[in-house]
Amino acid sequence: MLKVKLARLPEASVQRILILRTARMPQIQWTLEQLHAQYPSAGYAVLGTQLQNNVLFDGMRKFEVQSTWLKPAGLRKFERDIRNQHFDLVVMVLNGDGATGYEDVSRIMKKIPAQLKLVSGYSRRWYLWNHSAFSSGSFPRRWFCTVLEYLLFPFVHAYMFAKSSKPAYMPSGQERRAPGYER
Amino acid sequence: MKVLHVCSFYRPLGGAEKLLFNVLDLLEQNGVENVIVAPELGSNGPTGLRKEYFVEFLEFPFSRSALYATLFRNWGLMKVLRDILKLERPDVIHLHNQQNPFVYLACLLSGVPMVRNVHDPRLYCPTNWRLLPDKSLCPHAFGRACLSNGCVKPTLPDTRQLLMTIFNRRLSFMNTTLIIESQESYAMALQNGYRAEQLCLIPNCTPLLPLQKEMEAKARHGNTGQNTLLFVGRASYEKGLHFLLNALPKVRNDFKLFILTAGDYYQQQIAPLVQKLGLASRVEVRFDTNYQETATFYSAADVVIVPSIWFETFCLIGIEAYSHLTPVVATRTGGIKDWCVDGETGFLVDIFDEDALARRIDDLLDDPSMRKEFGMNGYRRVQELYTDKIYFQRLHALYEKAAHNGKSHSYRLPGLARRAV
Repeated sequence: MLKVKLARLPEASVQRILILRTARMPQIQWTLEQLHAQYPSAGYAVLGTQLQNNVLFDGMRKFEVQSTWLKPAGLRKFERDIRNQHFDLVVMVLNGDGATGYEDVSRIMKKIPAQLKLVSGYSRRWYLWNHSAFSSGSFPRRWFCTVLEYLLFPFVHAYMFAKSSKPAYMPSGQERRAPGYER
Repeated sequence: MKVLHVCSFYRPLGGAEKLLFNVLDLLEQNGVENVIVAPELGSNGPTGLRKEYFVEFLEFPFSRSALYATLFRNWGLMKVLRDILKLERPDVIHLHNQQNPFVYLACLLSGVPMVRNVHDPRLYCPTNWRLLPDKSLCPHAFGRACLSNGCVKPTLPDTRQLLMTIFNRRLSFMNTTLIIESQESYAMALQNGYRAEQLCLIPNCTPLLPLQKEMEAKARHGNTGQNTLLFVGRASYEKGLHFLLNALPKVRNDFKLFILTAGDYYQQQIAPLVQKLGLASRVEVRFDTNYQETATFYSAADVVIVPSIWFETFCLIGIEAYSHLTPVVATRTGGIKDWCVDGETGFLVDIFDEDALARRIDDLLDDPSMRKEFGMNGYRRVQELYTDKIYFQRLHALYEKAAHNGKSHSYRLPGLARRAV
């Protein structure tokens, strides 16, 4: 669990901030407002998915990841660029106050060098980031489960392949094909 | 009677949550004791109205999590749920909008009979919405077509999600009655292997004010001096806003479309489309309106549009519009066909038929007397079929039946039920 809760944002000389866009907009907005108030002269960059058409990110340097989720593989393309920016502060934003489901994002935090790394929780709380809060289990256990997962997957697909998809169900008036609206 | 409700969202959000809060109020007014289990989120605060337990999470991001994290964290969650069930000893467990199989397993192990709302096809569709990759409706039952149509790709995240869908689906056959909201949803449950005796058709409900009050509200808010169209709901693809916006340039009449929505979808997907279609001056969007404000919009609207392009399990928007004397133009899909009577309470159009949608909007905008008649017909339909009183009677009867028969059903789980709390 995230243990080190902060009463307020630390007072430090912060000029460059990187936000990891990993929560919904109201939470990002609150995080940005807090950061603007505490570090008024700082410049911002954002790393994540779906960064276009969003006024919140106007004027920021955008590192847009094309995949569905922000994962360590998505960082690879920008890693050198991000390192060269020498960020003072990196912030990951949570959809809840628990660490569940943010292990990959935490790995990205681990890879980005910065003097200060923070977590913005859903219920308007700040925490100091530490990777152990987001990952669990010893290496052998995790390794064993990962191997098990890979062994299990062919069986999952085999089960599905053996399962018939009949009968079909499609009432009239509903069978039109989608016209391919832009998404 | 004591009912333990497990819900992933315990705050005003969408139709499922609105129904949840209506149901909780109804049950409490009628002497049923409610206990809530919800995730610990900033927005899921205690209400002080009933006993509430907040746990770290209920919905788990399976596709993003390694097997170890999945097992480790859900094992902890199951222990917490076991303790809550041991302490509370409910007569029935009611799962609302809950898709975590480990939560299901913890409830099954308690031996307490369960009822479960089916708000969407997630019990048997790995894509959640029963849409094919090209976003057309999927006619297939859960099985090999999920692979052959490309809904599940041979990747790690997709396979993790698939594994959990299989697990969740298997558990849902045990000691559970599924609350089905519409006839089409019922047919699809049968198609996917559920037995008729496990299914209970209870259409959704909406609170209904006396007709005189609604007529006064309509007269007060309805004179906007312009043709007002209304869309309420998520701006995500399956709700059909793309379809509606592409049809709007074909509408002859002048109009103003109000969109009441929430979340990030609008800014990311819909706002650029509004600009592209040149509709910026005719579309107004409001975010996170509360239930009271939404009711005012229903009264003020000339036509409510429900352009969904998935198998809607019910869609509460329609009966809410009717309760405010407003007619609906909707797509002929899913549960919408249950409440919308074509040519009596509104119009039905085929999905993706932009010309028909535009034509039907014009038909209603051209003829105020038809709007009034359809709105009145809709109100009567809600009065006959979808009031909260009717809903409570059906739900309470189901709880009674489940509580009475539930123990005898646990023979399906002999090994597990023996460990019941």
